[in-house]
Amino acid sequence: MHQALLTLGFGIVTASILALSAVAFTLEYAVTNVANVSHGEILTVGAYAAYLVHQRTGSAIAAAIAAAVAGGLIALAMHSAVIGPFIRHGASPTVVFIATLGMSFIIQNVLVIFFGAANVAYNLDPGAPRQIGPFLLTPLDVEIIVSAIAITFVLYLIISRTRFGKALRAVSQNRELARVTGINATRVAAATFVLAGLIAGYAGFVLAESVGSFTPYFGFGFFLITLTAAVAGGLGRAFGTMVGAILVGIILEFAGGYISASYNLAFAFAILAVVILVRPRGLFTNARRTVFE
Amino acid sequence: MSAYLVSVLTEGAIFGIMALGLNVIWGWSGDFDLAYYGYVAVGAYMTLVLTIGPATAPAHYILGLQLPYPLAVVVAVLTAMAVGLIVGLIALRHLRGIYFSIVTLGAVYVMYVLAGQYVPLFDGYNGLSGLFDPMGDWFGLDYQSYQYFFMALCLVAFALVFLFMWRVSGSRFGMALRTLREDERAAAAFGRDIYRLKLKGYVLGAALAGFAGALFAAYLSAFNPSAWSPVEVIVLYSAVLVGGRGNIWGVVLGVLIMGLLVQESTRFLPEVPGHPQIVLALRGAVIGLVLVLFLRFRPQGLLPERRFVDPDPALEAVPRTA
Amino acid sequence: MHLSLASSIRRASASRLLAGSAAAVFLVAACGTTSSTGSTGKQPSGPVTMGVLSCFTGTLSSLGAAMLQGSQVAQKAVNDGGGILGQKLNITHADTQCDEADSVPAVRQLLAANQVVGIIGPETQEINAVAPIVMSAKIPTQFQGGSTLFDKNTNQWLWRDSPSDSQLGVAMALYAYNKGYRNAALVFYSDIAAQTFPPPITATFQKLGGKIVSNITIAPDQTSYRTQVQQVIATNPDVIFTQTDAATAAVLYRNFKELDNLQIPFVGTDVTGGDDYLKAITYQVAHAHLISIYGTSVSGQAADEFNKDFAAMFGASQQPLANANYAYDSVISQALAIDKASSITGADINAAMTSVTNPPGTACYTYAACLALIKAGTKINYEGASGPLDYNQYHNVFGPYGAFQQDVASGQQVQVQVLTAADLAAATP
Repeated sequence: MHQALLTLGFGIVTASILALSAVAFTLEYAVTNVANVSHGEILTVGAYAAYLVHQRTGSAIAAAIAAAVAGGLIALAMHSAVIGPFIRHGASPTVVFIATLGMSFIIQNVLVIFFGAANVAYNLDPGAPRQIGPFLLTPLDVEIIVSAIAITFVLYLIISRTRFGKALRAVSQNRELARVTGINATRVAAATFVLAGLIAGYAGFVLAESVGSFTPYFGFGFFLITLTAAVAGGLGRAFGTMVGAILVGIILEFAGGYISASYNLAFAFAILAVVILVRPRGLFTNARRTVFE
Repeated sequence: MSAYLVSVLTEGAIFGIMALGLNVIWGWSGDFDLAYYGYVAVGAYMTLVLTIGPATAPAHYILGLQLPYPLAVVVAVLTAMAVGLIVGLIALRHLRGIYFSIVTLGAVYVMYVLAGQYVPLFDGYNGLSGLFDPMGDWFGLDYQSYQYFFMALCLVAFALVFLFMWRVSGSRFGMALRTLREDERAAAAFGRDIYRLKLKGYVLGAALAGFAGALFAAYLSAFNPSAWSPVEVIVLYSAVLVGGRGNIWGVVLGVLIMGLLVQESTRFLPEVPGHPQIVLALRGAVIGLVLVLFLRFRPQGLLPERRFVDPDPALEAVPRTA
Repeated sequence: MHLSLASSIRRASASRLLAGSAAAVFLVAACGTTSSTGSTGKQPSGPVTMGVLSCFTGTLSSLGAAMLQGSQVAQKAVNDGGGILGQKLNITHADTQCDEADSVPAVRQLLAANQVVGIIGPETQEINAVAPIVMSAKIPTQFQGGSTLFDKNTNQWLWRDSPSDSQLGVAMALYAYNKGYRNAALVFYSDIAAQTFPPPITATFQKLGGKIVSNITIAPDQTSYRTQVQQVIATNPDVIFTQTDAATAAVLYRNFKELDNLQIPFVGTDVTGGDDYLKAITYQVAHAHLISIYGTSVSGQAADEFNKDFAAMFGASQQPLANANYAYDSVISQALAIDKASSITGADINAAMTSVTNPPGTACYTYAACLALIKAGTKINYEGASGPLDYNQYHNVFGPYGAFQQDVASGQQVQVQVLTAADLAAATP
C-alpha cells in the first residue's frame, strides 16, 4: 500500500505537467476547431528558451518566464502564419491538422539546425524530498503541483470573469455567431493562442526540469500523451481535459511502474482508442457517439 | 556511381508503390491515415520471418519458415491486409476527420512499440536479418547482376501496380470512393454502403503498403526499428500532395520530386564542416514547408485530378467541399 | 525516404555511445611515391582509401565522430610510419544516420564511388543490412558494435576488435559477485541496451550463485523515474547493474539520492565510464557509488602511441573520444594486413589479418615498428591501443576487463581490479 501511495504521489506530478500541456492544447482547439499537431513544439521551444536563459542568468524564475514568453510567441506565430490563414481560407479541420503536422516538422528541424539533435542536459537541484501526507515529494514537485493549480485557477478566472473570456467562449461555441455579434474571432483566437502558448511554454520548462534532458523531438513525444489526455477529457473542454490529464498521468505512472515503462506510449493510445470508440466526445461530456467532422 | 543509381531506382520504385497505395486511402477515399507506414513495416517484418530460418539463441522471433520469397510476399501482403482490416474495422466505423487520424496514429505507435520492445515477436531492437538476394540463386545471379535483376523486378512491380491502379481509378469502385470523399452523406443517401466501401479501399491501400514492405525487406536484407518510424509517412504524404492527390500520374510525379529530388539529391550537398546535421535537417524542414505551402496554395497539386463524371447523375448537384 | 525521426520516441545510448562531439577535421593526404615492395597481389596505383561507415547525424552522431577521430589518428600514424605499400592512406566516410534503411545506399556509395579497400564500422543498428553487401563485395569490415548476435559470427569479412557486450555482461556479473553482492537489480534504458545486457548478466550471476531481484526498464517518455527507483529499492538489492545515457543518468541518480541516499552501489559499462556520464552524475557521486567495467589494455605501449599521435593532431589538452581507440586499431591492423599481403585485394587482406594480429610472433605496438618487422620478414603480433587484438575463429576478440573507479581530483578513471580472460571464461555460463 505504501508503495502504491508513493506511486500515486509521483503520478500527481506527472499529471500536473500533463494537465498544463493538455489544457493549453484544448484551448487552441476550442477557438479554432483544429487539433494543433505542432503543440508539442511549443513545449520544446519553451524548454530551449528556459535552458538558454538559465545558463546566462542562473535564475530559475527568469528561465520560467523566458519559457512562457517564448511559448506565447511561437504559439502566436503558429496561429498568424499558418492556422489563422488556413481557417480564413475555409480549409477543413483535417487539412489544417495536416498543415500543423508539417509545421511541427519545420520547427523540429530548425531546432536541430541551431542546437543539434543530441540530448541537452538540464539539471536543477530539486531539493531533498519530504514526506507530505502519504507522499514523498521534492520542493520542485511541490512547485510544479502548486503552479499547475494556480495557473488553472487563473485560467478559470480569465475564462469565466473577463470580457476576453466571454469572447473566447463565444468563439469556441459558434465562430460565425460570435462574428455576427461583433466579436473579432481572429483576434480572439490569436490572443487565446498566446495564452495557451504561455501555459505550454511553462509546461515545457517544468517537463525539462523534471526529465532532466531534452532534444528537438522532446515535445512531440509528450504531445502524443497530451493528445490522449485532451481527447479523453473532451477536446475543446478545459475542465474535462484537466480531469483527463490527471487520470492519464496517474494511469501511466502505475502502468510504467507495475508493468513496463517501455510500453507507455502503447498504453496511452490504448486508453485513447477505447475512449474515442466508446465516448468519442470525451469521458465527461454527453454527446453523440459518432464523430463526423 | 551506377551502383548508387541502381539503389536509387530500386528505392524509387518501392517508394512509388507505397505512394500509390496511400493515394487510395487519402487521394480517393479522403482519409488522413497515419498508420500507413505500419503496414509497410508489417510487410517487411513478415517477409523476413517467413523466409529466414528459425531463431537461434540469443535471437528470438516468430516463425522462421524458410518459404520461397514469392510465397512469403503473398503471405506478407495478406498479413498487412489483415492488420489493415482490424485497424479499419475500428477506425472507419464511426470516425472521420481528425478522430480517424488520431486513432490511426495510436495504432501505428502500438505497432512500433510492440515491434521494438516485445522481443519474442521480431527480436525487438536487433530486428531480423538474413534474406540474401531472394530468387538470385534460381537464376544463378552473382551479387552485381542481382542488383540489376532486383531493380528490374521492383520497376516491373511498380509498373504493374500502376496499371492496376489505372484500372481501379476509372472503375466503379474508384468512382465510388471519390464520391465518399466529396460528400459522404449524399453517397449514403444514394444507398451506398459507406463503411464497406471505405474498408475495401483501406485494405487495398494496406495491401500495397505490405507489398512495398516485402520488396523493401529484400532490398535491405534486414529490418529493425532503426529502418522505419511512424512519421516517415509524412514524406509519402508530401509526394502525393505535391504531385496531385487522387491522380496516379500526379503521384508518380510527386515521387520523382520528393523522393528523388529532395531526398536523394541532398546526399550530394557538401557537408557543413563541424555541423553534419544541417543538410539532413534542412531536408526535413523543406518537406514540412512543402506540405504547408502546397496545402495552402495548391492543394490540388501539380497535376490535378481530372474532374470525373459519376455514372449517377444526381450526385453532380452535390456541392464540393475541398 | 528515411528521416531519423524515430528519435522522437527513443533516446540515444547504444552500447558504444559516449562522449561529446568532435570537430571533424580532415586531413587530405597527398599522393605518395611509387611502390617498392616485392609485389605478389594487386598493387595500389594511388592513395589507398578506407571508409568510415557510421552515423554522423541524429542523436547517435557521437558514434561516428569517435570512429572518424580514431581512424584519422591511425591515418597519421600510418602515413608518418611509411604509408601502405608506398602509398598514402586516405580516410573517407559515409553517413548511415544510424538507420538500417539509409545504410544501404551509404555503403554502396563507399564501395562504388570511393573504391575503399576496408570499412571501419558500422554499429549494431545497421550491421545486418551492411553485412551481406560487404560479403558480396569481399571487403574486410571492422564492425564496431557490441551486439551479442555476432558472438558466433560466421561472416568471414566481418572483424570485431572490441569485445562483445555479452563478455561485458559476464565481467559485470563476475565483478559484483566477487565483491560479495548476492542480490542484484538491473536498471537499463529502453533501447538496445535493455535487450543486450540483462541476459548475459542474469545467466552469469545466477550461475555464480547470485539472484536478480528486479529488472527495470527506463523509458524516454517518462517525466520521472521515481516509481521505478522506488521499486528497485523495495526489492533490497546489494548492487545495481546499469547503463543509460548521461542525461537520464543525472535524473536517475538524483532520484536514488532522494529515495535512499544512494545506499546501493552501481556497476556500469563502458558508457557509464564515459566522461559525459561521469560529469552528469558528478565525479564525487561517481567516485563514491559507481564502478564501471570495460576492456583494459595489457600493455600501455600502443595506447601511449595512440595518445601521442592524438595529442599531435588535436592538442595535448584534448581527450580522445571514447572508443576512438577501437577504430584506431581497426585501421592500423588492416593497414598491416595489406603490408603483409602486399595486396589491396579484399581476399588477400582478409587472409592476412590474423597473421599480423594473433600470436605467435614478435609483439609490436606501433605501425612503424610493425611495418619494419614485416619488411624484415618477421612474423608479428600487433598489440593494439584497445587490447591485444587476438581474434578467435568467430573474428571476435577477448580481452581482460578492468573495474574502474573515478578519481575526483584528477578527473581520470582509475583501475581498481583486473578481470582476466581466464576468469571470464570460467564464469561464462
